[in-house]
Amino acid sequence: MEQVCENKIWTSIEVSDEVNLFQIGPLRLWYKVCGKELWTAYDRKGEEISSNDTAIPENTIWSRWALKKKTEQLQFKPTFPDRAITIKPESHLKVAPGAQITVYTRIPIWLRIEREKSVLSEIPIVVLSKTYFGTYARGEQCYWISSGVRSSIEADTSRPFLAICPLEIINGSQEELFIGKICLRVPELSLYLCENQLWANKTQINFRGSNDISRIVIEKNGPKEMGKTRLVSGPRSLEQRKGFAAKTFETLKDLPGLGFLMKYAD
Amino acid sequence: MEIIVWDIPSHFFGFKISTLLRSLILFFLVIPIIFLLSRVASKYFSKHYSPQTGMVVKKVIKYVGTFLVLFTVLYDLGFSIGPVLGAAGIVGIAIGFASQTTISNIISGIFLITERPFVVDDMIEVGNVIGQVMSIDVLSIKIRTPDNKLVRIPNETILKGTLTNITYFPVRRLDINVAVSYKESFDAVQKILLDIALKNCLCLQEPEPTVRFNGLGDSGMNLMLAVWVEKADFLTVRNKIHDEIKKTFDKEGIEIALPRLSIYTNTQKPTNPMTCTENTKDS
Repeated sequence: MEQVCENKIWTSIEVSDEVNLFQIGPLRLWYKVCGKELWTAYDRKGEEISSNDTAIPENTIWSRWALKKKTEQLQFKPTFPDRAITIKPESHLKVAPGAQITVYTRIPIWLRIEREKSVLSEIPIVVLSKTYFGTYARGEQCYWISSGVRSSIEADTSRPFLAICPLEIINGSQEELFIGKICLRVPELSLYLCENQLWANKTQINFRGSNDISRIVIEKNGPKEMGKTRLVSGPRSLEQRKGFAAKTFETLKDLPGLGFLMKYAD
Repeated sequence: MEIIVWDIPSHFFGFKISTLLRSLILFFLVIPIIFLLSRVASKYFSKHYSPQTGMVVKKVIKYVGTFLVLFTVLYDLGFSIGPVLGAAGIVGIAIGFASQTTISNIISGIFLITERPFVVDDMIEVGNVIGQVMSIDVLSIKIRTPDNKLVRIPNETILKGTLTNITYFPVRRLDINVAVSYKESFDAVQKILLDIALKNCLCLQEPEPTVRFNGLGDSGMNLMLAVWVEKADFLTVRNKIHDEIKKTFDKEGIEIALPRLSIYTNTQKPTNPMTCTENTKDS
């Protein structure tokens, strides 16, 4: 499929008054210009889209932008979702006191449509479920994925809408770290391209015990083990934080948030 | 006798025209400036703190500023402030006795502002009134009900009674009561309900949805599906999930419990249910 090649996806696209189609993963995006107006419409298919399945469904709703001058080019860029992602490892993981581990997970990205560096729209390529990370007194709204969280990973160019996020987890405490869930703050991360695969910069998480909050450091550049990478998208946060502290892991010792109150009510 | 025009008022009122002009300029120039200042301050505090704080600051600047200007003008015109303040004190005491409720409301308002059980735009329930908070004023709060009515609740009422802030926390639990026929399997129905919740993107994965067995009712098994949602999605999910449950139950052949009543005859014969027969002319 021609969309798989690096220079065919995250690049500038010519637009015309004919309806064109852009496909990535389950997302289909139609676009055209009508005078000074730009029209877009999209839908998602549950399964992989075939190259023959390009017709616009009848009930598709178009979005329109009235712009200052006629549009000739659009830029399609990848970007991370606008919220943190709660990752549930498919298998339980424990890190011994003093040990460290580097794991990888794949995160679905959003498609950002830009015109002359002005963001027109952002569309999730895959719709993620919502979740809540924390306790009733303190928490944040996140998206949810269930992931392998492997210690090694290979590039998968057949799914260019998934970005690989390296996580270095250091257990700097005296207790065993049981990883039931990880809250990864993707709005703080950048996206890099290396041989058709999207990568995020490495996040280092220093666990300091269940009574303390983890220290998080985000590396400035792309993952070093990949060698030469190209920055395609910066972090959403305007203030790039080198390091901050935030609750990241939910272990068996934690109350499972509000569900606990519900289960033991009455 | 030479009379200077601008001295005429001083013969009657005790002040000169120049003083009068100065006072009028002070009044008509400074009052709008105070109003403008109160609006600017309100915007700043609303942006950096909360809309509630902005509202309070605006009112304080407006009333205190106007009061000060009035007193300055009166002093400039030669009125003695002392007796005025003294009279105000006496009047204040009299008013105080007469308006205990008003003072109570004012003090309750101060407590509400400092305690912050709710802020502007929160959805609250006070007694049998549910609505969105429009403003928190000195004497009362104003609520807009979902059907667009304005309800004014005195601050004292809120402080004395029970108040429920529906939108205080970012997530809420939605309880859906479902009754199914006794012939259905609880495990099968539980699985169907949990699948519906987990497949809905707006239902939170955590806290995870649960099904609770509420009891054996008159007509069937009473279950409750509890899902957690973000407060903004509450109404959307409530409508959608009821619809999904109905459609899935129809598809899977799950019977929703309908009210059933068994009637037994009161005779000496052994208890038998009544039966319907045809051609009952002779009976």
